[in-house]
Amino acid sequence: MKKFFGKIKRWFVNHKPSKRRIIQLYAALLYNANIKGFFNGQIYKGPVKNVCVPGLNCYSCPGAAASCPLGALQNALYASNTSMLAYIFGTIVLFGLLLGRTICGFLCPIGLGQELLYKIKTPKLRKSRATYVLSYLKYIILIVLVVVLPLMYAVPGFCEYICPAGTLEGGVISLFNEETRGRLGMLGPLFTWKFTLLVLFIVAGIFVFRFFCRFFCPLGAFYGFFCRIALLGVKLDKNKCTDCGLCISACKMDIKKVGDHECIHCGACISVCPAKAISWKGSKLFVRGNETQAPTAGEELKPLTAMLKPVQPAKEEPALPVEVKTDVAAPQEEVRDE
Amino acid sequence: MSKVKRIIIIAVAAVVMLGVLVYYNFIDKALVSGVKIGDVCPTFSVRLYDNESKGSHEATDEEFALEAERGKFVVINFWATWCGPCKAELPHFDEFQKDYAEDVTIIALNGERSLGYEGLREWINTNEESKDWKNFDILFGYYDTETNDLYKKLGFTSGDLPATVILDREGKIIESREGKMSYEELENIIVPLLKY
Repeated sequence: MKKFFGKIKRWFVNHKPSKRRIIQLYAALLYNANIKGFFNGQIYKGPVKNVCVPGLNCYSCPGAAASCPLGALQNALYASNTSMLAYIFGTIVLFGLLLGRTICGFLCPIGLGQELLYKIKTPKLRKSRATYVLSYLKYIILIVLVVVLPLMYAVPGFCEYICPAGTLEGGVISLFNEETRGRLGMLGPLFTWKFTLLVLFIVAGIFVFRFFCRFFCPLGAFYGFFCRIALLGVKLDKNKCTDCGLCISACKMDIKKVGDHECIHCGACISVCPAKAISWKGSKLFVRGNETQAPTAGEELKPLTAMLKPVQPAKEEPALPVEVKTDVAAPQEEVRDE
Repeated sequence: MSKVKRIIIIAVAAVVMLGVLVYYNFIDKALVSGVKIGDVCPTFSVRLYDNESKGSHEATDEEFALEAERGKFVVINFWATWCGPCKAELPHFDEFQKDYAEDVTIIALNGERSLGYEGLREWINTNEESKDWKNFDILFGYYDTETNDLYKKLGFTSGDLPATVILDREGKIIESREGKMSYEELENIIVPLLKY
């Protein structure tokens, strides 16, 4: 009996959610705090709906506590209401400046959903040149469906034709509720299309990491513009970087460099970097100074890279911690021997 | 991060979450205590369009008054020019109106402020989608959402369209529905009660 409980306890300790996961769950609950909406089938339409959440969360979700930035933006574009447009666009820009794509990594329920789907144990599709090229599709979607279609044809293109958050939260969920089930009769070909897309996103998300985020999400595309200037996020210290590329191979997004426009700032690269060159921007606000510095050269870790490219010794100390030879030429000999 | 800082952050996060949940689920009373099935429908009047000629809908000062319809079943339907299902169901409502003319009055209400009374009249008379509507027997009315929001008055809060309210001969609400309704559904609700 004791063993059993011991096992359970150990399971919980081993499967403790990361801080990032906790924040994602917290945000998902916060965005959908209007739980009564799931029971009475009504959307919250009070004053807080004038505010957007930073991530993707459908306005029409019965549980939604606030508005969706993309929905609000498209709405403002086709309503030709310039003050509303300025307010909404300004809000999204503010989110971008403060948080950039950390929103993707921490504050988006759709991102959370996809990461959870990916946990299902199946073969996974690795990223490649093809996925990198496909990652630019979301910029096309941003321009065509989020900007052009609302401006020129007065339709919220992305919401109407693609958004899985809308199909799931604003559509499918209302079918579970007595009050709103009557809408079943109104479903037509558009719903069929969007439902098919939703199923596609869900199934693909099991095999391909963040399938929707990487290739389709216009919000992520937009926040990506702020990658260099956002206040929070991961950043690479170029002085410490040895170009080993471990960060890029560990990263499941289609980045070319840590912290670029594809980076969702999940921080997975931080623990992988042998030179401890990656850290959180603004981390000094939350972490004491000495916790952000990598150990000085020659101290503990044996960087893999030291085997390939001799690091310039600081005080005539040998770069290789193997054979302590005072002769600086020694490392070169070692390499040649192999 | 120091332990104290961590505790403060967790405490603040917990308080915020609690506060938000309490606000949305206990304090925010978004549910307007509107009328429900079984209530007597509140009376109202609304400006009509004149379609006597069956040639086009004309402007008129004539008003539709709900009390005047006592003795007949009344079907009040809310629609909008931008709402596909609304426009699709109106011909079926008209069919029903024609088949049960002595016992039923059907009125289609529109509250689009962007069009206004005149603008809506133009739309109905000139739009491709409403070209058959000149032969309709159902009544068309326009209400001003600022001064006479009938949609809200009849208990609808979500803003969704179409929405339909059906009253019996005493003006009591026997059905209040959001979503498209078919001819059969109207039949199933009204026909069994026709003898009363």
